[in-house]
Amino acid sequence: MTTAANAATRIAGRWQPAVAVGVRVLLAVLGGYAFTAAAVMLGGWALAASGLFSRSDAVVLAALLGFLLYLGLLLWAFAERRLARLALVLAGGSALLHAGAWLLRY
Amino acid sequence: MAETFRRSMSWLHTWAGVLLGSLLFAMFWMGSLSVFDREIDRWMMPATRLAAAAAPVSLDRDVVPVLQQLAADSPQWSISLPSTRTPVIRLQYQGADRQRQRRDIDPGSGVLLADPGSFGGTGFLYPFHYMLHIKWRQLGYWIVGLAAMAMLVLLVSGVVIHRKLITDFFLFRPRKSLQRASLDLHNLSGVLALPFHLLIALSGLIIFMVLYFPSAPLTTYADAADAQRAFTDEAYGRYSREPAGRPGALASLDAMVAQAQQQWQGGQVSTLRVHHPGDALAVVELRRSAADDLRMNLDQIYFDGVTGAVLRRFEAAPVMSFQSLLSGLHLVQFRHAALRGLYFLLGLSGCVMIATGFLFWLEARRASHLKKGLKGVRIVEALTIGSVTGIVIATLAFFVANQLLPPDVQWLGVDRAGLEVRVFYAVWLASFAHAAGRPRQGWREQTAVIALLSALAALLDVRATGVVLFTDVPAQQAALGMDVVLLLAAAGAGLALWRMRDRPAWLRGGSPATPIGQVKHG
Repeated sequence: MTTAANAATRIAGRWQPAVAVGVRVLLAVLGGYAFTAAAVMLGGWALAASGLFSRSDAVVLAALLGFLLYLGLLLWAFAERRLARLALVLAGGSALLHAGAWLLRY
Repeated sequence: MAETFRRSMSWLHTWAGVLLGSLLFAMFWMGSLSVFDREIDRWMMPATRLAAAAAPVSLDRDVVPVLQQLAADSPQWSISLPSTRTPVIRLQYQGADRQRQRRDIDPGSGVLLADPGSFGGTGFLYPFHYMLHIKWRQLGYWIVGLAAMAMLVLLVSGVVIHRKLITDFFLFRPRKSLQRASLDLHNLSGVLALPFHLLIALSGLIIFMVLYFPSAPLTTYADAADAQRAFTDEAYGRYSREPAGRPGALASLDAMVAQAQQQWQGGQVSTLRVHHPGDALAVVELRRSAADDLRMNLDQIYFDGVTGAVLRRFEAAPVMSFQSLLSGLHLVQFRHAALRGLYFLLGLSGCVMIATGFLFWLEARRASHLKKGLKGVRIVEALTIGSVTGIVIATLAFFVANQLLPPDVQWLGVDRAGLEVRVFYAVWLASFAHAAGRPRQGWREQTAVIALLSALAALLDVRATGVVLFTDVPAQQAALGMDVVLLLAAAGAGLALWRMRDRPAWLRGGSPATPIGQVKHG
């Protein structure tokens, strides 16, 4: 029993870093994109509402800035040490931003 | 993720580079070639090496009757007017098999040229650069987009892990160990051309902003029935209307071209598109040429296809103009041979940066992997050889196939243009197999093949079309230029082969290398 348990712990210990890296990559690429896409939707709306840009230009500007935001999020996702915090911001933040964008749409 | 920001970035740089380097190399290689895609077209389609037409073209007389015959049922005709770089009138339409067809007309004689039997640079190499020819659900565009984001990540993380950014401007020690020399060259090409690499990765993404952020207009245009369409109509000036379903005679296209050029104060028309030709509600779209502009000019005029009245005139809004400037800096449609040459060289510097990055990764691990019995170095090395020298060989095989395949060849239901492409992929796959099977001789043997195929391609072209050394026809100069570049490539590969003689034993195919001391980054 103990040997089996030990082996299980050993394997889990061996695979844990790989799983953590996989989760991080998924959070960075997919979570970062979801966050950015929602921020672009809200940003375009806010820029248009500011009256400083025409509707189409507001959306274009938000999309251009979106690429820089995504870049920033990708870099941060690999610099942040606490995976939980990363998940909170990228997954939770995206959910909130998408909810906001959904409210504006309907 | 690691203890310090720099360590995290170092980890990220290493692994993003190893995982995506092959893809990025292919994109940089094809992108560099695409700078001269139309010149490659002239080389691969010798019948289009035409002198500029003496008299202006009449679309109504020379082009419309041809399209009415070839493409009466096509929902759209596209007519690209001749230019210095493309001396033919290029027609694109939907054929009977619902596939996109391309045909050329000689503007001097009005004669429809035979199918060139080749996709050339504009039809194969250029689309490979931005969508890898993976059409399914636009997956190719998304893979390329992700790689472009990774490129930005690699550039920023590369700068962060540097300790001596300025020193690297001047540091190259080719005669030190391969590991040291490849890191020097990686840093040199990365740092010197950093502004170019940043611009090219970012602007490449920005060109496809509508594709990468399809949801962007959903909030701002929430009131529109189709938010995405309402946005592109406003931002890009798209205009469309449903066909009437009853026939209508097409008004004079020549008159529309004259009117557009007058409204654009000398700006030339590059392309006309006739939507629903033959219908009473046909629309003719005229686009302005970007040949004398840094911007990817978005000026358009839409005419009623039957009455010839102007339906809509479009000029981009301020931010959209900035977007088109960034797009223009990526797409380099302007007519300036020297500046284009610089783009080509900067693109190749990106290839050098990626290849040397791989070499450094391999050399830094070769000894320790050998000692621990790990396979990583062998796998990555085979992938590197296939992605670096392999894609160059595949491209050269594509050129040689273009010279050797008979005009109307058909094989297993694949036409000539398709066979050229099959040759490209088959040779590329073979290069990976060769690299996996002969890891130690891989670099050397593939470099030798590059030298041979480059020289062969140039000689075959000269044999087929004769030596044209002094010509003032731009299309012939383009083909001559490609021959010269091929011969230079052959010489360069020969020189590299000569230099590899003096390289460590493992490169020559002898016993494995003796461990090289660990070299620290930066």
